[in-house]
Amino acid sequence: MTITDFLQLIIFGIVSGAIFALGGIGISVIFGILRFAHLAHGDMMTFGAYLALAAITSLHLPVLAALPIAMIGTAAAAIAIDYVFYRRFRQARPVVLLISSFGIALVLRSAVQLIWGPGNYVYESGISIPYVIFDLRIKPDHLLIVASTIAIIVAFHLFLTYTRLGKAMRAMSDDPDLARVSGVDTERVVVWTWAIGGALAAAGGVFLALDTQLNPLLCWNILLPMFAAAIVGGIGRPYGAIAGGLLIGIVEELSTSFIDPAYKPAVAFVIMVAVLLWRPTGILKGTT
Amino acid sequence: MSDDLLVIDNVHGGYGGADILTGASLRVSGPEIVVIVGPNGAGKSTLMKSIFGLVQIRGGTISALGHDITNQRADLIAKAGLAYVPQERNVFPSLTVDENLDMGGYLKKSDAAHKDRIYAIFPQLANRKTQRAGSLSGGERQMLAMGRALMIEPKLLLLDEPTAALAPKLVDETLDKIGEIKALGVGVLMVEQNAKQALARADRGIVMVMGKVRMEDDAANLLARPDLPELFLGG
Repeated sequence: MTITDFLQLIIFGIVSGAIFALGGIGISVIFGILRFAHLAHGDMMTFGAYLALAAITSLHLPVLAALPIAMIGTAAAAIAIDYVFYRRFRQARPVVLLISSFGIALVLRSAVQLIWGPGNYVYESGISIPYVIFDLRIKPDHLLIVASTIAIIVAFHLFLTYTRLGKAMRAMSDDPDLARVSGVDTERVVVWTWAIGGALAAAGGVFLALDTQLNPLLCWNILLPMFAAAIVGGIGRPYGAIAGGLLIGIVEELSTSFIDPAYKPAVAFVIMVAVLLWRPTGILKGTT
Repeated sequence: MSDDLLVIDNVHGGYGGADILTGASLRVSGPEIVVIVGPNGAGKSTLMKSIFGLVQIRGGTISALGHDITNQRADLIAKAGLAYVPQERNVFPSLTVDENLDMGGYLKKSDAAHKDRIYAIFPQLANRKTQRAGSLSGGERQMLAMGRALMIEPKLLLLDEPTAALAPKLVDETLDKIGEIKALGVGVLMVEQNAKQALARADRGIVMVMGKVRMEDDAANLLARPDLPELFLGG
């Protein structure tokens, strides 16, 4: 492997790492606030990707303009799903929520298939010419994905650090009872958790669709590496999910020069096991 | 309607299964320090949790500042003017000291002047504003927990064993702070194992045994009783 090949794979790894991070943040935040593994997260991302497709085809928007529409639409859908389904299980054991989220995953996937059919779509047809910098090929789409992800993550960071609601979210993730005792309306925090989880999920879904093509199983297929990213980073710690996503994305891509790309998901698990042996609660100390 | 800060009337309740509280009644009126003592398992901590809706109340009523708060949501009880410092897990470990105080003042939006008053009461905290609460010492953590609770400018502060797990020299320091809190016009209801030190600073004392209030009297009278140790051990 030459140094150029190596750097080329790093670039691909950063792109898929950015997508894993966007999904992993939502999985991690939802776990931190509601204490359950949200198995419908992949299908929520796919739903967001199709919402962007609808905006692109019906309103003739460019992808970047369709992105906020998809994010807002998916956030609204996530809040509605919580209101209708998950809210009834607030006092239930986590396994009940886990199973019901699997049901929601099937519902969302079926909705996508009913509305858009089982076929493949792309946002924009035609070939995009990559930029060539020092023998490295950089696709314009990849640039857009990485730049937008950075912008979204910076906005998310500012929200968590400086806003009253962001602090309440971190407080509730630390200790929900103490947050309530301090006067935090925890149901309001839950609504915002779904809004943010849903919006970031849509962004991840749109970026994966932009990089590959839309089909109803688009993000279900990356659910496991996204969970691995959230766990590796320390579940309940959104910054950990970013680190975990990038780590898994990059190592998965690098592995393709040694082993068959079909083993990519196994690579995610090897990384997860290795990191957890070293730090049992993840890179950042996760919620227990 | 009454001016009482807190009226607990014949409360029964527990965590599921058998009731731990079996008809507890007490009253806190005005800014006074009331100390609850009693043997382990008497239901002192359970009573504190039941006031804040964290334990199911199956009989009786609790009202605060004229509002019925029986089995109410904890955030609404905070809104009514009560603050609570649990014995354990009483700070947000991943938040900084300053952010912990912001969370305490969640209902007040931002009140920088009040936060400065809290830092004035607990000067150790002022030097550690940007440190994560999880990395504080036990004594500092207890100060932060009290500071966080005071941020909502409560009328009544509930403290569950504020000196548990503190080094002996910190016990007096912490209990002295409670006197300063009363001086702000805040009533204090606290559970305390260091009965003598706590009663020495209190206005009234309450002895709880087997989920009920066995006795209540002026703190000085309780302190003067030669049988205090037996009362405390549930004899």
